[in-house]
Amino acid sequence: MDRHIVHIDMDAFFVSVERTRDPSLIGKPVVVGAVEGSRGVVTSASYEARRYGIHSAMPVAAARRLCPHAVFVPGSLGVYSRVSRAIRGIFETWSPLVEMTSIDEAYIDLTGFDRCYGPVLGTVDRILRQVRETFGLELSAGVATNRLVAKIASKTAKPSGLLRVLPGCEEAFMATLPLGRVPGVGDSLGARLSGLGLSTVGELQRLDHDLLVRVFGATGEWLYAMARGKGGLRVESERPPAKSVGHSVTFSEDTVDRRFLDGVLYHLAEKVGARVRRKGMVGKTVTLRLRYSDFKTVTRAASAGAGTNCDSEIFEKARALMLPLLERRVRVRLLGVTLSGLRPADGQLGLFTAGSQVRSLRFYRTLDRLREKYGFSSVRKGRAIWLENWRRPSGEARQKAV
Amino acid sequence: MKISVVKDNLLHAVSALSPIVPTKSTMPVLFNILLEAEPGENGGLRLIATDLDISLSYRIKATVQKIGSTTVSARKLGEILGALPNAPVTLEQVDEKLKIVCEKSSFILPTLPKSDYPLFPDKSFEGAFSIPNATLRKLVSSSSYAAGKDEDRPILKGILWEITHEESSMVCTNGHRLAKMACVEEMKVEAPVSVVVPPKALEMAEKLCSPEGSVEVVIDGHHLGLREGDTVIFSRLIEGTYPNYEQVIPFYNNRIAIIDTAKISEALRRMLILANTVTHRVRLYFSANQVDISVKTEDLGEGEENIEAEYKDEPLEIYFNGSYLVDVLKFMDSEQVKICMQTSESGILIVPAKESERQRYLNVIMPLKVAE
Repeated sequence: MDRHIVHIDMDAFFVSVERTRDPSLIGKPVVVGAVEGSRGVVTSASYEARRYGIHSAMPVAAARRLCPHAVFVPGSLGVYSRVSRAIRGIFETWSPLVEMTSIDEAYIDLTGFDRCYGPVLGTVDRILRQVRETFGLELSAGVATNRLVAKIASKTAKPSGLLRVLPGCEEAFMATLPLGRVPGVGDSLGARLSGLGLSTVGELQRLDHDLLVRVFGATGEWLYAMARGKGGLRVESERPPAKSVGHSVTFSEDTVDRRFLDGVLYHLAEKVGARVRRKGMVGKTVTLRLRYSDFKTVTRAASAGAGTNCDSEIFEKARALMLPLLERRVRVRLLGVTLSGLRPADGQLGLFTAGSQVRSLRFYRTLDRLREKYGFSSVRKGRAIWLENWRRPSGEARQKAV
Repeated sequence: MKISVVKDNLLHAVSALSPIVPTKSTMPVLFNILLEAEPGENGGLRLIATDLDISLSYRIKATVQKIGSTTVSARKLGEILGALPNAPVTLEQVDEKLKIVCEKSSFILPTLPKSDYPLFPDKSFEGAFSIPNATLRKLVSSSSYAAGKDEDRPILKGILWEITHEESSMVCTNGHRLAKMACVEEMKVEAPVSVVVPPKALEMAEKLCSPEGSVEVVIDGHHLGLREGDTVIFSRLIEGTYPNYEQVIPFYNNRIAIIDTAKISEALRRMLILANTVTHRVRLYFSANQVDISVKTEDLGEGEENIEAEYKDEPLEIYFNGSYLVDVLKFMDSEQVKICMQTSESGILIVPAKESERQRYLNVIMPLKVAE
């Protein structure tokens, strides 16, 4: 029986969602990333904006130079996640094997469903139409016998397209592709391949297996299979449990202001703590990531004993890791806090710490409930409130500069 | 060096030393054991192992043809001896190699010189006091299980050994549970002693010394020495302040249940089958003359068992890491246990229902706080 693996990719997902919320954006170049003037990166750009050379992961400032009249939208991840979950819900009415590989991409295994729904191409078309009608969002799909070819097919079909690579035609389909279009061939592998004078998959197909393995090792095996249109078959509907929870922020201006950095760090610790508590977990390792204005990035980790999910403990560990790094006297651009080594919180009370533990458990439970009801910023620690006050004048300064 | 020994004696000695030989070290010579052929009327073979924290010296009978010393891989020597038939074994140093001959088999192992090997602590046993091995065994086995494993709090990895003129006690805690065994025993110490010892040192002593004899103990600022006959152990003490454990023993808990030790232990084991493998959470519900033990784990299932108990107080629901309870019950040698409780968020005291004159054993376990 032929496998029917479908890869579905939302077209300019964040932009499309923004357009359903604000129809005046339709037809204009739209960039979702960060507020105008700030230094975040582009997370999504409309096709109109892409014509100016804007692409995701590009600094917002660069995007503004390329297309000053584009509309810049800060983006609201919460809304996108909700829409993404609802779309997944639609996919799941068609097959139990749905794997969301990111917020706007999914694999669906429709193998064998032709007996219920008829030919696979018609089925996928119905799924696409259902999403378009329900959410007003555009999407593309690729259908093939494995994940790799399905993904390339959906990319080829963009925007708003549907492409099926028939069983047995994978090798021919791959032959025409430039190597850079293959997921898994990144910059460094791409450079090595072009160094050998290879630019398309077809050229790669002419090299024999042993040669590839000799030159590339295990990657050679993969290249050989890839060139013949062979790829993974498993679609995993269940996501493996999270191994870590982390948050990071790039500042609007580089700084060495100790109080500001403390405030940011506390805010990150709060975000991490809240998410870990919601999962009913504790984490054993606190990791701090710090990027200086010269882009040197440092990562430091500390053990949190048997495990913690308390904001203040995460903060204290992260702060102890941060302080020595500030001695470099170079301004800081980014801070990130991650809690890893997650395991279920057992509520084990300590012989020497029972009193404070019970108080802390009650405190965080109350805090989390308040935030659930009135929003995250309804209750803030003094440190983090002060952080907001600090931001405002800096925001003004920024506007003047613009 | 050239000696011949009975294979089983040598194998026993090498296996006794092997727990000390480190598995990871930046000093390769520590993977070796030191062999010293000693002269004299009752000449013999002395074997020494150390991981720099604990050093052990052990002696077996041997026919010494030529004195000398060398060091050789503990692991390979042990493996070779384990595979040889039970016949006399000859060890001979040939240049920088050690030749092992047994019947028709022979092996040559590389060696490192004695001068590369750390010196065995040279401390005298003057002023030592002695403790019967049976008492030492009792103290160690009923307390060490509760010691911590966490590298973050090294002090809790040790056994707190408190010695006065009339009593010797050992305390261990991992911060969640605590075990204390005290034995009445006249001890010839000048002043009360309180030291924190790595469990391994005491466990080695417990294993190597004869069940009936007694061990000489010497304690100085940083070391503990134990000696019985030709077996000598030196261990570095764990430095730091042991937490004030006395204040967390809930002597005043007054909701008391008396339960058959074997029955509750078996019931707990059954419930643990379906407990979460990380938290081992079980629920105990005490009510008039019974205790209800149950477990409920998402995706795994649930179980419940009811056993009789002498209990007259208000009902009390309390959650525990079930494996902590099972551990305690293993070391209770009385038919019934007495569990003294107060609230669902405070520690419980577990003691044998029948108190003994010669020894006092107590355990404290902290409950799990379950989200409301």
